[in-house]
Amino acid sequence: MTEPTLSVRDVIKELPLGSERISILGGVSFDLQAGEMVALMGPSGSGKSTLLGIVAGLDRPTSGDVILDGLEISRLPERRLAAFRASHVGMVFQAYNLIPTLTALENVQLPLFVTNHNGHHAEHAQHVLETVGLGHRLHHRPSQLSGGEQQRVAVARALVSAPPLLIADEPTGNLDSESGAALMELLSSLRAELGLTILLATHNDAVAARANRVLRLRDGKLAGP
Amino acid sequence: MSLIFALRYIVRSLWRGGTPALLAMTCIAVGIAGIVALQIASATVSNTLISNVRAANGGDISLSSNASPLSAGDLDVFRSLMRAGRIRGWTAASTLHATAVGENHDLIPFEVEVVSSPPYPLGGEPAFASPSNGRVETALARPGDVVVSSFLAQELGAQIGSRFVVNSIGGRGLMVVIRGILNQTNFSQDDTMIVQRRYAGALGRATTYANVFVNTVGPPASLAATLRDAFPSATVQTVTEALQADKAQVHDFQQFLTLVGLLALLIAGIGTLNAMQSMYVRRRLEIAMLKAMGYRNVALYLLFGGEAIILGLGAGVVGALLGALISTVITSALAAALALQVTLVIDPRPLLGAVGLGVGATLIFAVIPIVRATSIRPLELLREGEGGMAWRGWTKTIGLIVLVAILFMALAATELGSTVLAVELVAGALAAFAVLTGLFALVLTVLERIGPPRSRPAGILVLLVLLAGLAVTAQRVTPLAAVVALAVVLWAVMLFVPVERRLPMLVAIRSLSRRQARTSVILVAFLAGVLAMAISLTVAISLRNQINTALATAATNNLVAIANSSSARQIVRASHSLTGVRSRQAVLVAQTVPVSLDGRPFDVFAGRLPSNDGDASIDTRRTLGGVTGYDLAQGSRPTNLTLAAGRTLGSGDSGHDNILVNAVLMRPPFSLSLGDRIVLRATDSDRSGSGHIVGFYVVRRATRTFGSFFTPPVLADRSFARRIGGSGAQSIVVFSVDPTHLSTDAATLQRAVPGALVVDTAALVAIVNQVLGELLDVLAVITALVLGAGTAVVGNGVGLAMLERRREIALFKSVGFRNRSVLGFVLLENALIGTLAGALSVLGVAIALALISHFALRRAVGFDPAVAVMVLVFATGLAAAIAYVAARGPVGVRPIEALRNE
Repeated sequence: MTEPTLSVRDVIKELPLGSERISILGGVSFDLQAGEMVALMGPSGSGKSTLLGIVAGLDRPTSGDVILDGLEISRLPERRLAAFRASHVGMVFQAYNLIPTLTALENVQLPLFVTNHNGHHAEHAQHVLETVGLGHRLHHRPSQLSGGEQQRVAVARALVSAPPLLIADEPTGNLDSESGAALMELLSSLRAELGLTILLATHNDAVAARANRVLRLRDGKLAGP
Repeated sequence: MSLIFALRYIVRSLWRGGTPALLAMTCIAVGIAGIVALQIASATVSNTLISNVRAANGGDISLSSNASPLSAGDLDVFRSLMRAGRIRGWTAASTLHATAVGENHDLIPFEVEVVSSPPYPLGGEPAFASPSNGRVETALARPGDVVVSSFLAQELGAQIGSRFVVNSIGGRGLMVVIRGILNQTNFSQDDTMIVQRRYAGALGRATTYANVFVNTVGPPASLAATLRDAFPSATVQTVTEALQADKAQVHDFQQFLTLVGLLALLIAGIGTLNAMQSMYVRRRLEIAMLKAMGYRNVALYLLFGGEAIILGLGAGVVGALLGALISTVITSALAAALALQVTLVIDPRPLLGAVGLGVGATLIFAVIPIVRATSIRPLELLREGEGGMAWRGWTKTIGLIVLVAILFMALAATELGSTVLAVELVAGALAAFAVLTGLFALVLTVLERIGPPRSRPAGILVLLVLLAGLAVTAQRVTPLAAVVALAVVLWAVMLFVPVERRLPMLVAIRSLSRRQARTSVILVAFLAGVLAMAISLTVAISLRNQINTALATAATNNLVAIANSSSARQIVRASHSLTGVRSRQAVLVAQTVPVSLDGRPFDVFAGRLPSNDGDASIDTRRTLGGVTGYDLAQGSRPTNLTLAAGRTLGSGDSGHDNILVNAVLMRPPFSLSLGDRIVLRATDSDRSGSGHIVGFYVVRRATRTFGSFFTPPVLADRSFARRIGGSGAQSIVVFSVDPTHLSTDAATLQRAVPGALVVDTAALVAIVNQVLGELLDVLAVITALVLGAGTAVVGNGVGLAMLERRREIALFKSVGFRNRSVLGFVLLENALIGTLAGALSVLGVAIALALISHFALRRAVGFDPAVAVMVLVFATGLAAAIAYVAARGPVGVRPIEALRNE
């Protein structure tokens, strides 16, 4: 069997609450193979977003390992972690989180400025935007785009540096059902075309149904399928 | 809601309010600190100035007659009054012009007051700066002992025990020792030395009296009237009048400082408004819930008003304490600038008043945020989770701004004691804010629309236009070239720097224009401080540089020696050994007062004289105050004048009474014409002479020289001056000296002729430097308060922006930007604000200097490009530094926290 793209081993996350410590994640382990789309489900407060943050390198586990693309990231220094995030992880959020002052094209270019991506940033970003069907909205600002379009810009931004892993936290949470379905269609096709590995958190069964498999998180621990 | 519950809610809300609440309080505290500091400083200085008016006046009544000193015979009036029992004591003091070499080896000119002590001082002992328990009689007890004013001590660089030689006309040089230094008693910089009459012989003859001090038996007012009748050209002042004059001066001074403090409070108040706005935006769901539960607007006004009161109380207490601390710095600066010895007295009343002022000001600036917060539409907000705080209706906005302005006017009127001044302050500030906000909005819009360049050729074309603009401004308005140069650099960055490098610039410009309203307010607040400092400092620096340069490089008539008529040859002889002398001209001068003009007594005109001539700025009273006699037979001639009528003087006028007079005398009320006669009398004797007008002249401002200050305005042959002046006539030798040898030659000449008074432009440079240097210190301290308020608003704005843009920062970090890069974005954004404020300040200073040059000084005052660059760099650096302090913490936000679905 090939080396998994993502390997999460015994990840524990505790946070202080007053004089006590509360457990957010209680020893989570799983692997993601290349090209796999995995849905992470669970009730609010079960630790989904925390787990995604740790996997994305935005947060550090209290203990445990996260190996992404062959590199243990949970103990990388901040400087290297930032660079690693830019090149190895694409993130899509429920609230789109586009920079309101930048156009769609400029938003998509953002990660390229960090990675010092060789070549023509604008052309590459434009190509990715065209891939997600927004070739005609290149110079529009977020406030001039619909929710579905904003989320597609967010997807384009997540993919522009060709990361091996795409993480999506409730990507359809702010979209109507039609736009949500369109977005999932887009993610599925991108996975198929680019061999992208996707880990997405959702409450939506229809979204989860499009995944190869579903991980269920309850009280910080993975339950059976 | 019960009172206890309401109080609990208010206190906990503020506690939870975090940074915005703290920022709101800080801003008001800074403003209050400014007012308190200035109030304490002005009260301390004012107390010092009016604490001993009688001593400052010299007695119950003081009589001054500098232009036409009293003769020994004139003093009979006082002897008669003494015999008549109307006065119980009097003493007369003579005034001599003198010089001494200061610690910098410059010749310092000053006045020597020759007194008889006792009975001088009649008004009680003046306040001694050193020794603190000094007495005049004791300090002047031995030969050579003198007392000097604080300002003169500073000029000379002298202290108690310092020894130096004092030279005066007709004297032989007096070695003096400083035994006392007097406190200043008014705002003018007195450079005076007091000498005991019986030891003053070495300074020359002190036979006329410029000041007489009197203690009265009855009410001083009636005796003052008698003295005014007896000496119409003298200034007579009672203690009451002196006190009124001092109080008027002090009142203006205090009002000015309060005005500056209120301006600082107004600027700081805008920061509070912003912060409270942000505080309520963060609590919008809570407010919506309260409204949904049935709370009416009035209840919310009371709750939020209570929060404002508590914030104001905190700000008042902190501001009062901070102000008391700052007042020590301001008081020291003011005392140093005014050469005053002050004891800081912190009165608890202004401190308590400051707490009330803090509450009042916070409530005023909280009006808009509170009304806006209570306008929330709860249904929309609770259902959608956002929106619901849209500000609808310009009329409501304008109405609220007007309300805040009126409330602040009322507050300012209470502080200033003048409604008119309060209205002018607020209306002026509002107008300036409106204009500048509009201007900034325009600049930001243009910046956003222009950049970045879409195509390289078009961008290069714009760059060429900017370069052409730079060339033009560099030629014509050099300081503005600094601003255009900045635009060239910014544009070149946008044009040539790779896209990934110019991203911060792009983000900065877009962010600024996206939050245009708040950015404009921050910009204006910051600009007010930078502009106030830039204008005051650059005007003072430019003036100093111009005056210094003009005086230091003037090679014409830049050294003057004044002596008794018998010493003229000695001066000329001594001057042959000077290395830098290029030319010399000796004249004989007689000090005179006019007796009659064309047969009409001069007193006829006295009541109709304008105090100042509008065209030539020459005091018309002085146009007849002396005769300058040229050796016409030897070819000496008046120079640097233009004839308005008649002819000039020539060798044919030698031995005759033909005279040239100022053309001012051709105009009413004198209306003299060619051929008219003028009778003049010597100031120190009864000798008089009648001059026949053969010409009227005009001295152009540009052709006036240092020497022309010493030569009286009626020009005639030497024999005419001798006839009126007699033995009291003085010789004045005016030299043109190479500026590089000026100081040395002046000191050499003074040593060679101790009975002469040698004055040169270098001495004026030293005085100008000292006076303007101290003025600069005061201006710097005062404007720093306004700048401090602007700084607080910028810090406040950055702090709030960091809170509001948490997600944006987190997002930059989530795609791989490091803290340093994100901080760089914030710094650049705020540096841009500083640069804009600096650029507009440079523009403002250039305009102000142009106006001052045109209307006030009537000569061009240059604006040093280096100062323009300094203002730009300072404003940019300060804004970036404030942003660094305010943003360093917030950019460390953990992305996972900010990017969660808040």
